[in-house]
Amino acid sequence: MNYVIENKNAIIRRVLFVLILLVTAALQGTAGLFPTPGNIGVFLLIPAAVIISMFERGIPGLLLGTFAGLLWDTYTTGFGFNAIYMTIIAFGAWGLIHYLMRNNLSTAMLICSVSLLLYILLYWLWNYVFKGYGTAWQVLIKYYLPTFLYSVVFIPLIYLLIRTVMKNFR
Amino acid sequence: MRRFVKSIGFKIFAVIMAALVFGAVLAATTHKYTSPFTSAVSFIFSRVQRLSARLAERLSDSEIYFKSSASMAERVSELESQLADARGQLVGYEDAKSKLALYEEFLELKKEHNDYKFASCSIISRDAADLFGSFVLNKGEVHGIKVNDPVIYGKYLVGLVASVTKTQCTVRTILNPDVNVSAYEVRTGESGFVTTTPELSRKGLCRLPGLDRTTAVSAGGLVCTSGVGGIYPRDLIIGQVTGIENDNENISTYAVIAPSVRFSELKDVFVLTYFYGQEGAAGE
Repeated sequence: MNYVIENKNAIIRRVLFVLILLVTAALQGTAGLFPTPGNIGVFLLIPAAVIISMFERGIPGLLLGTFAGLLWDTYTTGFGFNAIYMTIIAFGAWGLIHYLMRNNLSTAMLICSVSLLLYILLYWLWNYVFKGYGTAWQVLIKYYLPTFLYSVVFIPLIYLLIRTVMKNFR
Repeated sequence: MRRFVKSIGFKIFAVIMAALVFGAVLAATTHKYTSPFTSAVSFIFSRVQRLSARLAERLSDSEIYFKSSASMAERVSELESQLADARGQLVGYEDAKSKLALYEEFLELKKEHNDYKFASCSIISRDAADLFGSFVLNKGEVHGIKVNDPVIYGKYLVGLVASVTKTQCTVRTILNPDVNVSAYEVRTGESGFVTTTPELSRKGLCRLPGLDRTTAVSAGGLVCTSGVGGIYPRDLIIGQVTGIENDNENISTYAVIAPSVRFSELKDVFVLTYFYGQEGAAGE
């Protein structure tokens, strides 16, 4: 009986996680749907995928991370970079929590911030530095770092939301 | 560590990574610049993107009001409801008006160029990481759209299709430094290619480099596509010259161009799926 309830809860929880990822992708990718002061961007999918992986078991967390990346790819011109990146960070986040760290707000802030910063730096290197644009530093300082800081602000909210789902449908 | 590498989770991770990398290679080799996995996800969830785009449109058209006192709440609510109805009608009217303007320009263009074939599209999302205004349209391969098809708004050039899936495509605007458009200045006939830099792009500007220091191009001049290269048809309006600047890298000058389209305000555009002389198009 307990197994049936557990199984039902796991299904509901994962459906809710998929919905959270869909809403997050829509908020991130639709102009005017989420407030972005000073024309900066916001990356909500990375914290969402990382925190889901921290709470979920390895394989479902990994698959949800890949799904988040594929969703992000539908908004971009790249040919699958986001899916690859999100799969790696989702698996990495699960591995860190499973083997090395505790799952709490501080570790979530740390893992999400590092994942966001790494993404931004990779994106910036690929799209500005390697193309030899002279103003690459300005772009990093005026756009991508404020975007990073603005995204970090929402990590606790996303953490609380996912933890609530997890607690109710464990 | 060995236990971790031998775990089922790691094996599944390795399989997924291999599949995603294979998808990326396939995307590059098929010249659609979209992985088959992304294509599948976009096919399934494109409705969500359309829904969120519509919701964002509604939100931008509405305002939030606060009730002043409890005694007036009922009356205010009644008036608000009437106002919301009126505003809803007004939004519909404004939408229809802007669409009508677009279709009028389109009709004029269609009369001038019988060979043009179009797909009318709506913008459903934008890439948060991209500073250059890339956006996603609600139509794709099944509507005849291909990579490198020009995207226009009336007579004005917006950009080109950068990647395409079955049901949607991604557009790079002329504010992206990777986009180069062969162009000429209408009054003097001086030609070159219009491109931009990240710095100019942030200000919403492009440039026409390689002009002589003694160039006759001046502020107010109109810059159009020249049709060279077969990517864009001739005579689409790119923008207006706002000034001439000296190039720091060589002895030439460049014209600063303000595009005629406000990219952030675009809702609907046309993709030119065929025109006479298009590169790679079968003669019709």
